[in-house]
Amino acid sequence: MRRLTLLLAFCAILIPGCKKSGPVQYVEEGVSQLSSAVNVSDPKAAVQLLRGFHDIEQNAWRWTAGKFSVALRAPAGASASGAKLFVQFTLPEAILAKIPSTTLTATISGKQLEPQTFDKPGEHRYEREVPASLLQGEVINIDFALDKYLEAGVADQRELGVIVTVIGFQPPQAAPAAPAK
Amino acid sequence: MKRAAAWGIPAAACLILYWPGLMAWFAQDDFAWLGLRLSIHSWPDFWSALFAPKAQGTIRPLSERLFFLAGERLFGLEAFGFRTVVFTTQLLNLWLLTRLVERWTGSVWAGMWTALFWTANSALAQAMSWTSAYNQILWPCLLLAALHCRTGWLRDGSPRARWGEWLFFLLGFGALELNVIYPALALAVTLVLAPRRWLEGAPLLAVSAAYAALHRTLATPGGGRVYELHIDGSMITTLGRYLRMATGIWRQEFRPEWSQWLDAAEIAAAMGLAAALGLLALRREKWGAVGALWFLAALSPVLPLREHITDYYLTVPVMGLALAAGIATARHPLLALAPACAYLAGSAAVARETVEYNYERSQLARTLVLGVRQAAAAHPGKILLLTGVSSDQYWAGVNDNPFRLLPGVEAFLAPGAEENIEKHPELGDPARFVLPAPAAVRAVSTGKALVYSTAGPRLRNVTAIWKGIAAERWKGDLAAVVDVGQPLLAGQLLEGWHAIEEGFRWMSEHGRLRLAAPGAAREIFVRAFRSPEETGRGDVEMRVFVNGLEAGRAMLAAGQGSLDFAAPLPASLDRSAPLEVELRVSPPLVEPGDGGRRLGLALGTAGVR
Repeated sequence: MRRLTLLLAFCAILIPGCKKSGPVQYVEEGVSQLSSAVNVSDPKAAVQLLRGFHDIEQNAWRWTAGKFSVALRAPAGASASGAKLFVQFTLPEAILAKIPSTTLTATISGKQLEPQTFDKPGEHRYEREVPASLLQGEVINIDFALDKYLEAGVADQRELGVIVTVIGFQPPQAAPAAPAK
Repeated sequence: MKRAAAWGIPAAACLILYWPGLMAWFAQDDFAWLGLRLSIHSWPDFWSALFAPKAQGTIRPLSERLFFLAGERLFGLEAFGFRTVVFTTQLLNLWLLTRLVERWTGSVWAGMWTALFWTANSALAQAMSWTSAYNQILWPCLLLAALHCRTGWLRDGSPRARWGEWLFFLLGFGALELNVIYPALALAVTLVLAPRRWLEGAPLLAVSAAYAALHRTLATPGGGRVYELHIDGSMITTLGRYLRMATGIWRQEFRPEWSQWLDAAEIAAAMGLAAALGLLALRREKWGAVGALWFLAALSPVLPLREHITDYYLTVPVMGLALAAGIATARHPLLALAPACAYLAGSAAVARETVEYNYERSQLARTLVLGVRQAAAAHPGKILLLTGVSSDQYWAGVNDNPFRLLPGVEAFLAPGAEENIEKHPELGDPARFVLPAPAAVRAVSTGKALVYSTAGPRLRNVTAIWKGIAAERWKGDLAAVVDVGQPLLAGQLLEGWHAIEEGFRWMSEHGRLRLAAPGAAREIFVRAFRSPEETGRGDVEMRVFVNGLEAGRAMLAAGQGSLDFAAPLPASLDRSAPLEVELRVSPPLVEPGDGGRRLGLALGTAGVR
């Protein structure tokens, strides 16, 4: 009986000690806006990662699948002057050990931008000028495709492409100021 | 005082080590169990909910069904209530174990060490941090209580102890099927305490055998290949894997940067354990042999599951090894110091890693489910669409459909949300939670639905962003898959449909509907049901036509509840144009009375894939 009392007393101490204070807020209403460049580790950008992105790792990056798509806002002035699309990513040695190289292609509104082949491990940047004609809407859906990637089950349960950190548009560069006379 | 310390030390270690488990929320199967009450509308439903075999052919009325039914009634979605029950049971386990070993060996400290070694083993981490694994905590409680009674009965001949053993033994079957091994443990204890009475355990064995036979007849293991039994040489390999895992330090999936320290701890612990068993054997200490037999007996039912090796199955078996190690440590504390410290540090590190992982996983589910509840309360009557759902979040918090636990809440994955979720076909298909694009776009544009991103520590209203993306991405009016019980897709139904009833619709003898252009889809599929109460109709035939061409036919036999029809799309179809699908069912079911409806089949979903 003494032991049972001890046990109950223990639980009685435990339970109030664990009470939470005040209701927890799980929802944020506010107004959110589409970005023209997304850091894939930013939770606010998740809605713009349309497909082919695995979960965030190390709070910094995400693996992609062989095909991946994002939605970006066209930067100001892009509908007149175009913009530069860029993808910052890493190609790990583990991938290149299994495939000699991979070619990344971006497609906007059915128009394919010039592909680029990557065959060295490390950080890379894919950059392409996008003509104004492809940047007329407010929301631009961009589809990326790698010609070679690791199928699910080869190195991981997931299909693995590249490790992406940032995808976005750079606004058109302002015209250089006229030299002073 | 000594006894209080002997229990207090492992109890304190348990609380410190598994503290995140006490604070954990629900995840995965927990939601399926929490939803059990939704299937109960009558007493027969209640009995079926308690005793009908479920996933993997399990029947655990006490540790799963009743535990969740009562817990949900008492605590609702407050996981802390459930967790408190789990922890209280474990503290009771530690007390029972400490006392039992003391009664057997006469050493309070042997009891203390046994309980400490057991509770520190990382095999317990899953059970201490995931409510669905309560069976692994409740069963040892009943097992230890039964062994206490047996010990009392063998020593004093007390009839109360005899009946107590039977009570706890029988209750053990309600906690876990592995309870069939209890007669082996009872026999081992009898051989040590009163060897001449060894035959008196025969009735226990008869009950275990009868239960095993009954269980095999009633419960058919599901889960496919993973739960296939392999009664062959592979059981030796499986035993080897479990032996290695029994130190609590080696886990194939957990190799941190400092794993060389874990390897060293594992070697020290394994050598210490082998030395303990050897030493007890040399000294003819029979409890050492009981410990080894305990391990083998408690593990034996899962050895044929070579495709499903999991640390969680070691929860009770490692208690046997803890017994041997505990006795040896109490007898030779100085010799045991180094391996004991290595074991406790290594196993506790692995256990903590598992508990923290489960805690984090449960928090993902908590943010998602409680976020949906709050959003629904802030926007009553609105449909909620979820986007930005991570793979971990989906598999922890959506796949077992927690939203049905929230009255009045209609929540779906937004179209496209499933495309960033890892596929695990053996666990489920995220697509079944997706509201088809045309319905979602329509609902958002008419203000009937709001879109929330679940990425990050809170749900964020991203309706405005999503609307813009969706307008670009999904321009068609028709869904490729139609849930005929979804009002937002009613526009795709042509003639031959009755009103919606609880997520489905009856069709009449003929039902027609429209689907989006098939594009690259290869087959048409239909999921249909018939009422289990209908009589006199016999077998029912369903024929499926696509744009007037017959795609296939299927029979739904009397007594067969559901039909999953799938057939290739006719080769001559124009794949760029919407489809018109016609279903013809014969014979119809005619409802009694004037104006009774003519019913074909109840439909769930139809579509192309």
